[in-house]
Amino acid sequence: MNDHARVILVADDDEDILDLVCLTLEQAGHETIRAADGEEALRLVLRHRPDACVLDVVMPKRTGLEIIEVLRDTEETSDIPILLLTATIREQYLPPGVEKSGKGYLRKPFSPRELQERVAWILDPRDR
Amino acid sequence: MLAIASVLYVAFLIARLENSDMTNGLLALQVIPVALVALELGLAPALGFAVAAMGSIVIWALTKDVHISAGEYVARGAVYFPVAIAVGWIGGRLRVAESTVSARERRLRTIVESSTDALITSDDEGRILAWNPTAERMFGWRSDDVIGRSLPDVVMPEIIRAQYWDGLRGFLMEGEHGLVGQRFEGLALRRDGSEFPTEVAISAVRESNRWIFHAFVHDTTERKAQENERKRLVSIVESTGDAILSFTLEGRITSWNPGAELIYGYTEDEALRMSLFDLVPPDQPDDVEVLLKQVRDGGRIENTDYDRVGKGGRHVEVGVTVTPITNAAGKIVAGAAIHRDISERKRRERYLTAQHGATQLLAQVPDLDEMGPAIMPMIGDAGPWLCAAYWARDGELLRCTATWTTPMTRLPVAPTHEGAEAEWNAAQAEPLWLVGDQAGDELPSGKRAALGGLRTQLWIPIVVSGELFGAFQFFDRRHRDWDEELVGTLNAITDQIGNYVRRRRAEEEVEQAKDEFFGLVSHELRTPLTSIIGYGELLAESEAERLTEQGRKFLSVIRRNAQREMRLVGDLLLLVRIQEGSFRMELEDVDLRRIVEQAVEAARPAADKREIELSARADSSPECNGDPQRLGQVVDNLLSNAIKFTPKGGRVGVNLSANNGVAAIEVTDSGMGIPKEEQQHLFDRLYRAPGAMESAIPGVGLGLTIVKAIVDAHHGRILVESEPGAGATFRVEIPVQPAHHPEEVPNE
Repeated sequence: MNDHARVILVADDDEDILDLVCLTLEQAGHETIRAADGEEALRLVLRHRPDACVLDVVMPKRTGLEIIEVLRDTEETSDIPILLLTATIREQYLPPGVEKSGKGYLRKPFSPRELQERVAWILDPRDR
Repeated sequence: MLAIASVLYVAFLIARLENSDMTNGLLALQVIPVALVALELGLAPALGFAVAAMGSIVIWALTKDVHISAGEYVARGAVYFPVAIAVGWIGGRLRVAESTVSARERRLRTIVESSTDALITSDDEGRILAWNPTAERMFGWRSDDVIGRSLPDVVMPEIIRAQYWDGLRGFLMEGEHGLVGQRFEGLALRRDGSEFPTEVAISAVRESNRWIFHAFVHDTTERKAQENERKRLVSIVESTGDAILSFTLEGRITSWNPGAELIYGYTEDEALRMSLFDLVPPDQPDDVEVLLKQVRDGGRIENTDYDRVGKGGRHVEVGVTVTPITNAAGKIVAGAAIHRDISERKRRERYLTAQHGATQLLAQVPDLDEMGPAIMPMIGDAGPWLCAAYWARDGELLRCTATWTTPMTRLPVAPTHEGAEAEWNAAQAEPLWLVGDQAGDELPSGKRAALGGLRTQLWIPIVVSGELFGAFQFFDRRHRDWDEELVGTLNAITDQIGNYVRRRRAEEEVEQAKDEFFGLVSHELRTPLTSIIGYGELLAESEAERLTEQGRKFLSVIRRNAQREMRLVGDLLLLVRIQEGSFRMELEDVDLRRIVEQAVEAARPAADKREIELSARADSSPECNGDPQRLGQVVDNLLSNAIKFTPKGGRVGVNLSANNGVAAIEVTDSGMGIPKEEQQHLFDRLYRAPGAMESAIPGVGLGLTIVKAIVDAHHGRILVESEPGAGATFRVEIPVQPAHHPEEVPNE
């Protein structure tokens, strides 16, 4: 796994979940950048250009969906793979750019193993 | 006879002369029979008798020895016979005159007595002198009762008696009077006090120095009644609001009452130059030929509804009754018709129907997009209109979302089409009734419709909370004037629609709020669960060896319950989605055998714990297009129920089979079973079997409701077989090749 170590931005306003996601991804050998709200997440993405983002949908300041929109509209960030964490959102409301096959988002609650698998998949879909 | 009588008479005479000498006296006596004969039989026979008698005496005198000479005899005869003849002649005359008078009297009496007129004779003091039998019958007085009584008191109503006396006085003074010698009408009085109409003729006769009046009275009661009846009929025809007309077998109008003028607007003069064909609306099929044929065949038409057109294109609906008219020989020569104007009634009926229809439609809770187009034909029929369009407001635009054309007519050019767009303006928030040249740019397609010959346009907007929501536009070829009642009806309908839209919007807001609430609840419930489950898993995976045996047990309790709570939250939210119809599936090819195996493995710990023997059998491994997670949930829920309701040491089995394109998953248990009356409620939301409650079996009654919803979404069905005490079998059937979905079309 270490061969595939990447930088991943994780954004969630719930600190416990933020810790959980980062911990899980670090266990998988990735580096994480932490963001506690939407604006911070967007700022950090633009600054650090991570290999992937794991975004909570419902966050203060900017939602995960809004961040996706900005990233998709910005040339430098338009192909950063994104995994949405959602407690509520319905498949039909997912914005364009999010995989609707069920792999581009993860429903809360999720198991750490599932999270690791999904992140691996968005980083390199051909692996699957 | 006369000759024999005269011969016998002469023989008698001679016999008397033989024995007597009184020749002269006898000769004189001869005057008597001649006079008698003249008297009795008339002058000419008397003359003949006299000549015959004289001749025979002369012959007798010539042949017999006489005392007097023949010359003297003749001389005496010449004196006597003329005297006899003169006496006979005068007597005869008198007799004839007398018999003539009495014959006339008899004739007169007969006439008087048999006359159908009452004949009343009165004198110049107004006393009744004569009263014939007809008068007796007519007035009810017997002749004896009235002779000598005052004429006016007996036969005249009190109010005209004074006139009689005036008239009589006038006549006696002037010798003439306007009514005498004339026929006139007057009222007469019966004995019983009733009055009756009469026709009277009076003649005055001067008789022995006084005036006698003969009154001929004719009872005209019956004639009057007939006359009145005829007048009544005429006045009915003249005054009725119905059109009464007659026509030839070719349809030419031959009579036309004022009612017809009222309904159709044509005067009698105009109508008499027209035919029934002229009353057929130009855009409708000709129905007159059929009607005429029916009349020619002697058929009646009873109160049948027809559409007709009057002067100036005015549309009229009439109920028509037609009768053939026959001549004296019984041949049908014409037709007569009564047309009753039922436009008003029909219109009311149509308005009511439209209003009723709209109310009914709205009661079915139609979508806001579908409601206008669905109501449009009802109003179109009510108008009745030729065609219509429904415009839905879409921001600054109006978009035509539906059109309608009456099935009665083919429209050469439609005024608009579905998908047409137009900008809306503020004037369109009010009803608009445009006729002829008025129709212009204020309405979408208005000008185009006017140019296409649609002379009348009606715009009825639906306004919701002051905002234009949509509008109906109706068109008609005919020139139609503003119809207050129609507009009123349509306004009532659009008010109703507006209220419905407001209600629906409010409901939608509530729905949305509910949605948001569930979203929030879901989020708030899941977020802590995410941490509990996530950290629990991390703990179990990476820190487990550092925990004591008891700590690991506690951790597993925490994780198991967290999973259970997660399922419960998932079920609740799924149920909400099912209820609001937003339940969606993620379809893919599913191996049902794998689903069943996974579910059985997941259920095994629970089964083991209750010492339940859990077995699975699969005859085949059918594949279907479905949502693997949801199908897994189906088997999970069924198994979980089966285990819950089976006592310790019981058996639960799953059997998968496929037959005729249908895969069947059967979950059988050896539990308490389900009574028949409970089976129908099993799939109701939050239903809990009484048995489950008694046995304190956990659950909230969502499992089977969710199972059924998922199975339904897979176009399958679920069946239950159970006998109380003998376990239960839940059988889920899912088509192996489900209905084709467009989204499954493979992309190139």
